[in-house]
Amino acid sequence: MNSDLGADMCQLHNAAFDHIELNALFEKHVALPKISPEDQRTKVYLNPGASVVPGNPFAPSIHGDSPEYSWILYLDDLLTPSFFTGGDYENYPLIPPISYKWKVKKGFSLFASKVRDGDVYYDESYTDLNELQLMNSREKVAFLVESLSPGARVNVRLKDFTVSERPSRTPATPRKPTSDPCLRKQNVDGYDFDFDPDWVDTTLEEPEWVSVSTAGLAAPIKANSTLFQAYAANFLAIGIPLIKRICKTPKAAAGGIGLPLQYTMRPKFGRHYHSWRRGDYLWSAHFPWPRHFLAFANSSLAERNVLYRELLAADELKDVSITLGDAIFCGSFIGGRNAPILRPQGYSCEFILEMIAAGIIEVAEKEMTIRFTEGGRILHNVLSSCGFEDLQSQFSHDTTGLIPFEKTKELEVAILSHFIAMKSAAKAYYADPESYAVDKEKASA
Amino acid sequence: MTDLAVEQEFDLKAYLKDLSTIPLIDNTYRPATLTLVPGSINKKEAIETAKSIGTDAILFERQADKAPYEFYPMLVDQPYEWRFSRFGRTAATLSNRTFVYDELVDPKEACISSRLQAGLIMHTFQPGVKFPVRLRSPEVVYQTMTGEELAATAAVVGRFHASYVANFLVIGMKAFFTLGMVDPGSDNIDPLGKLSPSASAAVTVAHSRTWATKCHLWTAYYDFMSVLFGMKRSTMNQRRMLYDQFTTTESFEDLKITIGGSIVSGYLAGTGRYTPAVKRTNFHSFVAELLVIGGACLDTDLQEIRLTDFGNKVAETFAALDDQDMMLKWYDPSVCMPPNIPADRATYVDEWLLEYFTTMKAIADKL
Repeated sequence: MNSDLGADMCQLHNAAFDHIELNALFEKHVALPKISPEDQRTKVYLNPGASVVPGNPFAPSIHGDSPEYSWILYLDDLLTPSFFTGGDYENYPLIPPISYKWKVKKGFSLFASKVRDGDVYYDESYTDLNELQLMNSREKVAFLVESLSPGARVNVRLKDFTVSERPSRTPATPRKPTSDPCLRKQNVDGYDFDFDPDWVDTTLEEPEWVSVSTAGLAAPIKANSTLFQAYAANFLAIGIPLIKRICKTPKAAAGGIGLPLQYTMRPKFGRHYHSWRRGDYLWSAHFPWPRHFLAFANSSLAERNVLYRELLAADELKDVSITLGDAIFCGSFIGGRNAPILRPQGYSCEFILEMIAAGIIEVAEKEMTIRFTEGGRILHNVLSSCGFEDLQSQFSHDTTGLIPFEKTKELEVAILSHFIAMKSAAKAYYADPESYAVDKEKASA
Repeated sequence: MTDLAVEQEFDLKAYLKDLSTIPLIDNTYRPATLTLVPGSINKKEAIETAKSIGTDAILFERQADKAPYEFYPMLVDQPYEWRFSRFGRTAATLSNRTFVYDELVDPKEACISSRLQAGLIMHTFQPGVKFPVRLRSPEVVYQTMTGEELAATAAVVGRFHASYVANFLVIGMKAFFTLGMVDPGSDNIDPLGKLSPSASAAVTVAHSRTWATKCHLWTAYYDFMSVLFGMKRSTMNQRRMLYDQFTTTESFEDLKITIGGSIVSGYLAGTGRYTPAVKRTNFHSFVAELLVIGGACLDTDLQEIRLTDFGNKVAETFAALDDQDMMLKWYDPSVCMPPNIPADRATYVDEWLLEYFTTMKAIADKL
């Protein structure tokens, strides 16, 4: 599909927002909360700027530290994607602008003031994260700085993915604080704090810092972010209500479908389950959700038995090996002869847990397996006409999962077309739910 | 049916009796208690001073494959022999000691064979004496048992394992050679250097080659045929994924492979009809074994690990033996860990073994 047509379609759909002040809604959507006057008086005495690194902290977490003493800001703890949820059902599908929101509950103004008032250092030198995860981190830095200090440049040390023919398959693992480059930098700059010299690996050659613009930093991931946030916004508006209606999630929450005790006893497993019930559909709104939903629909009994065992045995979400439907192999995605193998992104279990929470699939304790609920089967019937597979194949570009910027418009059109189809399917279901009822005998066979 | 009744010059009864014992050479008094545990911990520690020791460090599986071809298929309980380096000294230091058997020291170690080993040691040195044992099961059980009683808890699996391996080494390998198995000693599996450069990949392949050259023991393990038939049934995506794993994975120890529907994420899952699926740690070793004996190859054009003509020929020749639920159908679902076959299913297992290898022998004899 040519890009002109794509642009036209976007304008067409976004034009529907004119009467509700689209720009005002979008502007409100992209703004980070302002810094209060009280926060501006706070003295940032440990660090005149901010040193930000990708991923999550190993220890200590900024959640546990007083903001004054946090000189390293972990991006995944600072910001999280903010999916557009404005407007009415009739206004969807649409393509909203990219936005993030503060993830930290307390002290974000102080972090913001650090970023606003001083130089920002962003360091990828020692991370284990993969290319896509790092590109997402870069965009977060760019968004953070651009929101708080428009036009400012960022000092960066970026990982060069062109030097290695074989990017690591290792899923995201926490950084060791022992090799933290920011700690080293702080020490070199003369800031006074104790640190264990054994923490520092002096055999590694330290890369040079370079100054870059926020636009340049975010450019490689621009297409991914635009498309994935657009997908999420539309799925939240169209897909989630459909799931809740068909799978009768609110009713199930009162009793019936639930996580077995073994899962809820492990906090990290229970968290996703409960967050869905609270109305946070973070993972269900992510683009890989339909891949997991379809893979589950196409899975064998043997695969679902193994999924049951893995969910029961693993201590951590990332340790759950998910293999389903000849499409997902231990978290890697593969889709045919010429399709690239997308490396594990460090998540898969989250989608499964949210599907359990939503009442799409259920744990069958006696049979030692995971299976579709009746609602899940109906949902599959309803969504089967929306072209999930086509959409996914268009997004499959290379092993990194990164989408070239020039494909943005073409894929925006694909997303809009997909959600127009989903809206039609939903309308048909709402009009005549009985016609989608699943033949139970056939389903159980 | 068995050929046990056939009168031959070979004394089968004496042979089987010999397999069931381990020689004693000393009766030196040792008062200390020795804790026997699964695995091979303290393998290098002086056994005189060790307070605990892995049973694998003391005994080694012995293969019952030395009887004439006509005697197979046969059924045999799991035989053991002293690990060569400890022979003599071990026997001397184990005499008159008090034993404890504990499976909870290292939950990751397989504990079926260790029950057989510990039971045999206890029975050999202190027949009829009850010792404290702690077994791994859904509920941790503390009890006292004689060596015979302990060994009996794993006897069916042990018998299945020993009988399968022995019969395969004699019948299966004969057929493999007839069908044109390549020399496992040749370094031909990765001429283009595509295999992962990691040390663990090299170790895996080297192990496979060593075993294949020495005695084909890994080919004779029942998981080997599961992998072979799995490869035959595999989808293109599965073969591509396998190629990707073998050419890029840094840690082969953590490799979890999926082939042919019955092997999923490193689990033996069968058709799915029988639960629970059983976790295995070494399916990748059997893929390496297939590569080493020329049954599979790294196809760089298709980016797949696929069966070779030889591999396909073996899979097609023995297609009648493809039983995806082997083992799983005998396990007791109420005993999830360790996967164990209850004693009351021994008859079914024996019948299955004899039928399986009678069929294999009939096919092999026609080649």
